[in-house]
Amino acid sequence: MSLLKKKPAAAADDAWLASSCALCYGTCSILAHRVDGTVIKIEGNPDSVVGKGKLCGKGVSGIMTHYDPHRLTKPLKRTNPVKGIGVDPGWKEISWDEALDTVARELKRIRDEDPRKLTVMRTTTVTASRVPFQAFSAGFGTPNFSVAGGGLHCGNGAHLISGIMHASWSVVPDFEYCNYAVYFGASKGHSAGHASCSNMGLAADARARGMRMVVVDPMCNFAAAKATEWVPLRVGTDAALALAMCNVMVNELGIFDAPYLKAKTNGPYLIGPDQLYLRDPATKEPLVWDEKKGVALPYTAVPAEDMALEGNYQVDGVPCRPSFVILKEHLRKFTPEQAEKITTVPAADIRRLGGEFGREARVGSTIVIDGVTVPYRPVAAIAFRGAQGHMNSVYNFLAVDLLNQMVGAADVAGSCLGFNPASHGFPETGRLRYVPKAGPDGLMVTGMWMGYHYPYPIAEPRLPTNLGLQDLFVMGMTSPFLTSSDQEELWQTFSVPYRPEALLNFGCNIMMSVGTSQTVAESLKKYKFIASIDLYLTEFSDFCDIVLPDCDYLQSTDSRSNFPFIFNLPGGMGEWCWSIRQPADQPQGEQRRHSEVLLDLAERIGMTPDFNAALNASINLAPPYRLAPDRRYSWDEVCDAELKCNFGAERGLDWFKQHGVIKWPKKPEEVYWRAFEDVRVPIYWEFLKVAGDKIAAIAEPRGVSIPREYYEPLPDFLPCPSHQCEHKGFDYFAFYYRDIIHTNSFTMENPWLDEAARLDPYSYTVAIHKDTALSRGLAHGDVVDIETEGGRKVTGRLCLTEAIHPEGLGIAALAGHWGDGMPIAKGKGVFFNELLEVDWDHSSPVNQNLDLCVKVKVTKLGAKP
Amino acid sequence: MIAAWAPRLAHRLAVLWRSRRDGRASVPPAQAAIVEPPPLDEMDADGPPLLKVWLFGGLAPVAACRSFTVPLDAPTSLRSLMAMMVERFGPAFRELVMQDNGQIYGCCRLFLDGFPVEVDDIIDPARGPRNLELIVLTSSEGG
Repeated sequence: MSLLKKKPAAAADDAWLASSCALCYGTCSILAHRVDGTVIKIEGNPDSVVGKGKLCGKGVSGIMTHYDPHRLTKPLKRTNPVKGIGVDPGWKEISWDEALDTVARELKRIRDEDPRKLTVMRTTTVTASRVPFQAFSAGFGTPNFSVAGGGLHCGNGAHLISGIMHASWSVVPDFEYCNYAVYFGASKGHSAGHASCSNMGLAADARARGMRMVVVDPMCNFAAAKATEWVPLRVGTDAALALAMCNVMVNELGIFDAPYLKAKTNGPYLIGPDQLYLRDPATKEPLVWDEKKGVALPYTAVPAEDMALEGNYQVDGVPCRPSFVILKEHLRKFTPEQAEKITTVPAADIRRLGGEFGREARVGSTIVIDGVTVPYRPVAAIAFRGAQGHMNSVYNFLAVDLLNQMVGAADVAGSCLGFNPASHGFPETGRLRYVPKAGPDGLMVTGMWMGYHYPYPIAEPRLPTNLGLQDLFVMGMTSPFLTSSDQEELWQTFSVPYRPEALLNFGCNIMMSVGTSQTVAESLKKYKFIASIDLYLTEFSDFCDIVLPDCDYLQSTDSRSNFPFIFNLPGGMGEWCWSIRQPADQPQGEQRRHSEVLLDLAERIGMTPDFNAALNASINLAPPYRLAPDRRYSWDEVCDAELKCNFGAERGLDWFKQHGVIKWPKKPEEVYWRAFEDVRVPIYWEFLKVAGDKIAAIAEPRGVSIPREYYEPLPDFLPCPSHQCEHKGFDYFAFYYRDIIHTNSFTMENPWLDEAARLDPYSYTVAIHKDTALSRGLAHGDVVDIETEGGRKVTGRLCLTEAIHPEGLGIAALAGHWGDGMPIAKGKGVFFNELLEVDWDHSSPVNQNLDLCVKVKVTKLGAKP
Repeated sequence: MIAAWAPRLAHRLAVLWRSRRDGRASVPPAQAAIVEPPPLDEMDADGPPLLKVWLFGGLAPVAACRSFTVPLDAPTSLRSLMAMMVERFGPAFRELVMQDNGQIYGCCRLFLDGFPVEVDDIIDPARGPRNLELIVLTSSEGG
């Protein structure tokens, strides 16, 4: 039922309020039903594109989180100066004035000394919180901004490669037109992740229409169970499989889209013996070989159709070849037989899958959509957390995307889509207009990103001053070195000129979300002061000095449910949509909205002009809606300014509270923008080699060896640390997977979701293959120790199944709370991250991604009682 | 095998990897609000128009000032203006805004009279006094 059709009933207060969920970062649009001041039901909002009226189990259970009696209601101050895991902080209730004065005093001291000593951390679950927290960080003047486990576990690789290859934060199949989708460790359309509920409907419709779906995953769960085919592989070996499939397509079957590769990639660029582009001496542009003229010319001077993709050439005596033919030859080493040894996927299956993908791509076809002729490639290879959650995440993800690139299945009808990277703007104001554009060497620069640190062109590596070292490892996003065991050693190595002193947290439970608790605890003890804005006391709270009670999503206002606004819009045709968040209930006790707390803190610190300027910049407010430097605004006023700026003076916060969302139609030129924008993407990452050389030039004189195999221009299979473990008895690859009824560690406290998890045989257990378990004398229900070669250990109960790779050990979600602040969550499930080392040796030297699989020994402790 | 979408398939030509818009109207241009720049407090009626530069976030402390003025004698590129600021405010300022290769960081945002501008844009003195705001946004993040 739409918002307008829901008539008020007889009760004095009976309202349906259009807002946005925040039980996960999908932020589906909701209708909250409030009767006499109590929210009694939450449904999906059918008027919105974000969720399309659907709501998952997490979303409908939101009222149980909202009314959880264990939520914080008063500011707290620790009285025990000793910090440690399980050490009682001795919380004492204090007033907001005392709490904010304390926080402001500490932050002001630090800001006066060196603002970089502050680290700001925020959860990605409330995606709209990026605006106030990023602005606060920028206004304060610190570059140390983190999302804790958010990037390390789910996005450092996925977002980087999606940004470079699709101008987008992530990728999805074009569900409406796709006929053959291959998922590598992804769950798009299966109740998790970006555009969660929207994609559920789209994926289901696509499957009903006949879209074949192949899921490559060590575990047959939410996506694979609904697929046409599950392809179990050894964890972390996705690149080997994808490259072998590419080899089958390109070399064995001769399937590739030459016109696409010539016009839209750097496939024609000539590469010299030094692995670098040959460049025009005058313009410095990369050269291509003009087949008609028989000469090498800058790529801008040759029609795409005349560019050579293959052949050997000489330019001024230098031998060179187009990058495509180098890639083509590189692929030859990835034979299905060799890939079988790495992945365990039979060579015959790899040949079949590669052939199916290539043939289903229908290279050369076009389709007319809304009167516009666009290329038609109804295949998509997508990846996400599973494939990218490793040290080799860059190559894993790039290898998967090469499947798309070889056949031109990139941002055209039916293909792998970046979701919504090209917008022609809101028609009435022209605001929200962005399109990918050509950057250095003609390669694509995204038009819209999570911020202005675009994935390409990559920044110039330099001696780092950020605590996360991202200014040296310039392709990194969230850094493990904010919590790693070797952080001090690295900071000394790179002469980082300061040390962190204060941490301001919003909603992260970093004690659980990154890696082994002992390492994280040691890093937190180094802070002189920690303040946290949160819903609950968590395991992280044990290290806080001040805890501030936050309002939740049913008590908050946001001018946007996402940042950027397309973050959760489904890909493909349909409508653009902007949704907001509005309160359906009042704060309980002394809870306050985090955005208002930041505005208050900024005033107390004396940085209101900086905060306002950062808000102006972050959300691109234009005159006359820009915030004045010296005025203290309410968050509602900031929201009102952004909405009016984007949608016109008549559509401010009040208009949106009444209407919920605004929509306008997408155009084929926007959705299938690849054919309309003159940009190229790199199938040969020349810039990666250049970056590797520069990073090594800085790091290696300081004794940090940069493994250059990670910086080769073409993707390879690089083994994870777990693949190299040879200790006897350590014969399982442990990994965790997203449980679709849970979001990180947060929803474990929700009683409805807890009940669902207890009914689910896998949520709180350890999945192990039936045959290998029985062969080792392990039975269903056995309690086991799971131990790494480094001595990290967790205990869990086995669930025998055939739906997992024989070498795999699958643990769901982020469970295993031990703190008292979330009593429903306490003691449930297995805390997988306890097994993960957080250090240089387990981080990608390219994008800083942590390796999330680990080789373990399983030891039986006892049978099911 | 032709799937259910076959009736919508228009024709099978060599793929056209160049745009073809089929006569559809282009998108209307932006209708940004037009406002007068705020008055500058250091205007000299007889001199050239002034550019008032405002520094926010981490830039103000390292420059040890919130704002300063620059006479607009002639069309001035923002790039040259940034170079002047780097020269004037030293290495700590440079570290925040400029890469070692001289490129300005994408996170360094510039707004001229409230509208975003690029470092290669030119400030035209004919339009009178102007306000330029600079702030460096935080960059690295995942999720």
